[in-house]
Order: sequence, then C-alpha cells, then structure tokens
Amino acid sequence: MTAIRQGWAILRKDLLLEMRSKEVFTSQFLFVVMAMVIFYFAFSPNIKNLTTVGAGMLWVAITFTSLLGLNRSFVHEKDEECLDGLLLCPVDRATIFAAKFIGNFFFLTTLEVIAVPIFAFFFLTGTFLPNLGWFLLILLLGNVGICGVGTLLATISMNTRARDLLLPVLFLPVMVPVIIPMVLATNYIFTQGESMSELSVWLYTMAIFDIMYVVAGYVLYDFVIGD
Amino acid sequence: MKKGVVWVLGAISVVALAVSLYWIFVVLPIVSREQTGFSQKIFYFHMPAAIISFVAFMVTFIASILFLAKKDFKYDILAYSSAEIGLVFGVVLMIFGITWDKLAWGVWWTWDPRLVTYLILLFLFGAYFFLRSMVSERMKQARFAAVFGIIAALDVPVSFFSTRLIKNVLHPVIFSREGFGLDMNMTIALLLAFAGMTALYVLMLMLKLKVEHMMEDVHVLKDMIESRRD
Repeated sequence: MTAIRQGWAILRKDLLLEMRSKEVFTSQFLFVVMAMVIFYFAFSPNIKNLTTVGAGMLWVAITFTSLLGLNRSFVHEKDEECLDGLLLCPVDRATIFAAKFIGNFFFLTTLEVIAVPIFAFFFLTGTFLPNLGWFLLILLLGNVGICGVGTLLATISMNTRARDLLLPVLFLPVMVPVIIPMVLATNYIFTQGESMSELSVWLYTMAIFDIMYVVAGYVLYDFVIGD
Repeated sequence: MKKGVVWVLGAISVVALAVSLYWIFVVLPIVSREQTGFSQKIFYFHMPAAIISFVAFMVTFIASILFLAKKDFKYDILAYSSAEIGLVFGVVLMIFGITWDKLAWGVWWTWDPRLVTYLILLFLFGAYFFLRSMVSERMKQARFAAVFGIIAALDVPVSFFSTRLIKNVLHPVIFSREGFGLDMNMTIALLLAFAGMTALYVLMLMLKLKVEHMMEDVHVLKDMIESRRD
C-alpha cells in the first residue's frame, strides 16, 4: 500500500511539473508534426499512396519523439539535484521505476491521442476503422515497450558523462525487436492484410518483449540509480 | 594460469583449423550450383564463428548477472572480455557472410531476418563498449555495463531462433529433429573447424583475462604510489 502511495506522489509531482510548464509536450508535439511534414516531402515525389509507407512514418516519428520525453524525465531531476533528494527518501528504487514508467507512458499516450488523428487525417486514405481496436492495442503495446526499456536506459545515460547523448545509442538497437513487429502489425492494419494469424504473431512478439523489458527494468533499476 | 594450458589450447586450435582447411579444400568435393557451388566452403568457418560469438555473448550475460549478484570485479572483467572477443568473432562472421552473399546470390546484403537481428546484436555490443567508455567511476561503470549487457543479451535468442521462427529465411536450419543436413565428410570438416575455433575462443579469453587482471593490479599499485607521494 505504501509503495502505491509513494509511487503516486512521484507521479503526481511529474504530472504537476509538466502541466505547469508544458515544455516537454509542446516540443514533442511540434517535433512529431514537423517530422510528418518532412516525411510527406521525402516520400511524395515517388509514392502516390502514402498509406503504404504510413506504418513506417508513424513509428519513426513516435520513436524519435519519445526520445525527447525520456531524456527530459530525468534531466530536470539531475539539474536541481532532485534525484539525490528522491533517493534520500525511504522509497524503494523499484517504486521510482514504476512511477517514472507510468509517467512516461502517460505523456507518450497523451501525445499520441493528439498526434495520431492528425497523422491519420494527413496520410491515411484507406479506412482502417474496422480494425481500430487492434490498432489501439498495437499503440498500447508499443508504448509499453518504449517506456519500459526507455525509462531504464534514460536513467543509465543520465548518470554518464555523455548524459542525454547516450540515450539514442543505447535505446534504438534495444528497441528494434519491438519496432519491427510494431511496424509490420501497423502496416497490416493500414493496408488490410490477408490473414489474422500474421497479425497475432507480431502482437505476441511485442507482448513478449514488453514483458521482458518491463520486468528487466523493474528488477534492475536498483543497480542504475544513485550511487 | 598454467602455461601448459595455453600451449595445449594453441596447439589444438592450430592443428584443428589446419586439418579442417585440408578437409574443406582437398577432401570435400565442390557442391552443386544449386547449393551455391564453391562458395559453400565458407560455411565451415561461418557457422562455428556464429556459434562462438553467440556463446561469447551468453558468457557476458551470465557474468553480468553474477556481477550484480556478487559485486565482484572479476565477473565484470569476464563480461567485457568475452563481449570483446564475441565482437571480434561477430565482425569476422559478418565478413564471411557478406562475401558468401555476394558469391552465392550476387548481392552484398539482403534484409534477411537472421542478418538483421545479428547486425542489431553487433550494434548492441558496440553500444555496450561506448557506454563503458562514458563512465569513469569503476563501480558505476561495471554496474551500468552489467545492466545493459543483460538487456542486450536478450537479443541473442531472437537472433539464434530467427531461422526457426520466421518463414522465408535464406539461412537453412542445419540441425533439426528430422536429422542432420550434412553428410559424413562435411560433418568432420565442420566439427574440426568448430573445435579449432572453440579452443581459439577459450585461449583468447584466458589471455585477455590475464592482461585485464594485470591492468587492475597496476591501477591499484599506481593509486598506492600516488597516495604515498601526497
């Protein structure tokens, strides 16, 4: 019970901070929309129907945007030495991970709630609405994977000399086993693939990696935070 | 470490690799064009190198877990020594692989699942060493590297099983329940190359560990001299 209360306190602090400053959300939103505009000009000369490359565009935009948020979630802790204060509190390290993970997940999901409809409006011609439920499940699984391993790796990179420079180097290769099924499953939804069994293979792969990464983050967090 | 062991391992790897080369180029006939012809001979060094690099990364994985559990630096040294040798075998494997690609299929690179997952694995262990170089404090460096080593090694089974899980893969499954995809002479050549490379890996790991332990000792002695001087 105490763990939930403590976790909620950390989460509430992050939410309040973001609600008052809105700095991460604003920059992420601008970034993701600009990325879409650039994609349009990069692909449109050769590809008539952008739905066919839609899945790749969507996930490249989201993955790179998530890097901004993951870095920010620890930069402000480090700058004012808030992290040391947090570590001095009698809080389990795993609870800090859980709170940060949920916070990152919440921010990324909020961003997608606004960015994905804009994306669909700009690029998707074919109707994917009958499969909307599956699409939301893919987004959910993708977000869990990104935030699970991202929270852990952001903490590591924040405590090194390179600081936020290191996160993409560590994060992107680790994310590939999640990104590949994510893109393939989304592509299936956008282009209305043939068999349902294909989709389920990718969903299982994502779910397995999500579970592995979140559990690894929860168990290993004790070793990466503080001294 | 006994000097005799080094000599024995060295002898095993030299003899086994030399005999396997003889077997590959002299004893074995050239396979048919459908089985990629002369370039198929790369296979006998390609597959053992792949397995050794997987084993090396798994050693890193286990040593990383042991380090986090016991906080003993000897496991950290084992972890990164094995990762380094794994990376060497991995790069050699990639060179064999793309050469074979070019000779057999006429392209340097294909986006085959096994190739992609293996390339990512190399990037992961490249990042592992980049991470190490970015932390100067010894304890923190070892802890971070161990955590990242564990996460990176989760990709090893994916790469290993990618030929079994995904259809339309260029890499054949050699060992399966139905039996063995090779005849007697091919098996001998493969096993000889495998024995030679295993001995080479163990030898390299032993020498690397010795050097690294010496370096740790030198650091300790240097620190002692520094503190005397002040």
